[in-house]
Amino acid sequence: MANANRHIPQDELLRRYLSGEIDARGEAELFRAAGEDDALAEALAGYQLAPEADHQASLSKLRSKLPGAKRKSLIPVRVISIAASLLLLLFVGYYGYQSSNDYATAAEAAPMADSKAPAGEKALKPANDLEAEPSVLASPSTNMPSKDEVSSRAPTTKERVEYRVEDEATPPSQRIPENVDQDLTNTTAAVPPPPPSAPVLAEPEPEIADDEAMTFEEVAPAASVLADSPHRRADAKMAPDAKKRPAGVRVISGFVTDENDRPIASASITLPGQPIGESTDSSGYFEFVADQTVSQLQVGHPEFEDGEILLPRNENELIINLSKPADLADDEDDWLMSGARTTVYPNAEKTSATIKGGMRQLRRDIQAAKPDDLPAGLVKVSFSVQADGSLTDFSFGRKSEEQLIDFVRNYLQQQSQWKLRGGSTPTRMAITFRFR
Amino acid sequence: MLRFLRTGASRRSSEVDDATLLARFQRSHKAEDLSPLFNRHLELIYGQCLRYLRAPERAEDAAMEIFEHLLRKLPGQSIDNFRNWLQSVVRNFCLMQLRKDKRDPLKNSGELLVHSEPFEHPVGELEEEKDEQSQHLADCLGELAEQQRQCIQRFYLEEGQTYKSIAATLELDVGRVRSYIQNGRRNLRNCIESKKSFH
Repeated sequence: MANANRHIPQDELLRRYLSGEIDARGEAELFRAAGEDDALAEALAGYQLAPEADHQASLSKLRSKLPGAKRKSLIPVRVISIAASLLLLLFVGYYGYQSSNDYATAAEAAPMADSKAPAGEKALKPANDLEAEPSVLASPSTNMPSKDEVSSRAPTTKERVEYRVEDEATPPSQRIPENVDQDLTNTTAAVPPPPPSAPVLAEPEPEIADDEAMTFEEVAPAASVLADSPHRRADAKMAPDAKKRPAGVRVISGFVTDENDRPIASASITLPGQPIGESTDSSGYFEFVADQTVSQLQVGHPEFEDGEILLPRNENELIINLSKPADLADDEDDWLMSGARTTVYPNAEKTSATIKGGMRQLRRDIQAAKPDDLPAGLVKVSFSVQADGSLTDFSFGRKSEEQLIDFVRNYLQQQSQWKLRGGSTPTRMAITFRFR
Repeated sequence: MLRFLRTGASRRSSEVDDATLLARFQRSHKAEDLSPLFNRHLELIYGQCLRYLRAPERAEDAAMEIFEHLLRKLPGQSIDNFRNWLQSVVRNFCLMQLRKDKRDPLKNSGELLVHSEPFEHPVGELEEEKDEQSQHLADCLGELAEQQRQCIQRFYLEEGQTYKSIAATLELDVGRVRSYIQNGRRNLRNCIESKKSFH
């Protein structure tokens, strides 16, 4: 599954190239991806033979010839949409009826200001207003309110309607506002301003954060709650923001930590080759809003070894673990080679991968095993460690020597023993070897 | 709730993996069940056909023939990575076509893509080299044909411009803009390299 989905960004970039919706960054990413993907490279070379041709028209023509392709792809979504709409209408009808009864009762008890209107008609009107609004204003993004909420609060604006989703889980007085952690974050460009009506809460309770994190899972299914409170607090902050993202945007968030799992503040998160990005706050938290086609991130900090992260396709929350080059400097083989490690945990249960004998031993051994006729150079490798200890999904930096790449891959697969710690979710490792 | 259903539904439809679609077709053997899988990779299939056969009409015919070929061939196959397997199938199919034509399939192939790569890293690490390259770039931009220069400048030097947006501004076809950018990039590269070798 991971393999099949890994190509989605490239394919999307190719579609944009063909439709003309690609920009210079996308084009650079497309060419970069083509350097690592033969199928894409061949297809792109084909399209570049005839850049002026209307390839979209040819593709549409081909698609129209495929048996049942359109019907097949649209029906499930449509059926679900219709079913959901019917369900919604049923709820609206039901609550409308309930509310009208409540209002009718109240109207009978209260003195009427307008004596001309019959009590029954008057009572129906506010009930309709209450219930029609969510379905019109915010139908794609709201749950229906409970009966209690309808009677206790009268939503008149879109904002209020949207907040009901959170309010169902948390009373308004305890709800965590979006700006709680503003002092902790530097992600100003990525985070839209909080709504003015949001209440301010100085110290949010972790239990509340749990609820908020769950609402976020609708957007990012991989999310689960991290163990310690700073993480949870930031998750809570992330939740309402993520709901407002437009389609086609990928929000990657997480924490950058050092080898002792302490947060690294002011680490930069950028797209490879781009000078400007986001940086982590004092709790090591970052949020990076990128195009859905982004496949790599660059993580950097002056005191730590840079990490180039190949993003897992279906995971938007990462824990990125950087190591200090200085920590490795006392190794006796360091003049020959240094190995820095950037561990990416693509899951919040925080599984990590360990190698038998440790990283230093690996560096010694791999250096000792390197045949003399292989060239010196840098090899950036990343791979996934599976629950059974096997290594899969290797990817290498483009600038590495082919022979070194083969050597490192074979060595890691055949000579090193890995296992997962703290969970069973496959964990992505990124290691840089410098053969000097 | 509706939002949840919608996001869930769209996630399911867009993220069903190749293996699932393949298994569905291998169970049913129906052409309708092959279409979604084929459709998903159509850009790659057609592009690959174009690369080998070099004519849109031929590529279209080949793509449909490959669909028929898959209908016959896929049911009995055990495939780990459909995308890679498909790439081999398409390549072999096109090579067979060319063999019939007695043409050399690999002549000049792959050259076009290589043209674009140096542009991704046009600037060297040394400051001097940077300055020199910037100067070459500026000189070479001025030497480009007017339309190419306009497209290149807008696309690479202005934030957020796309082929489409440039096409709208300059009142050109998207394909024409794509062509100007591709050729302009190649000309720029050639020009910069010739200036570098001259120095």
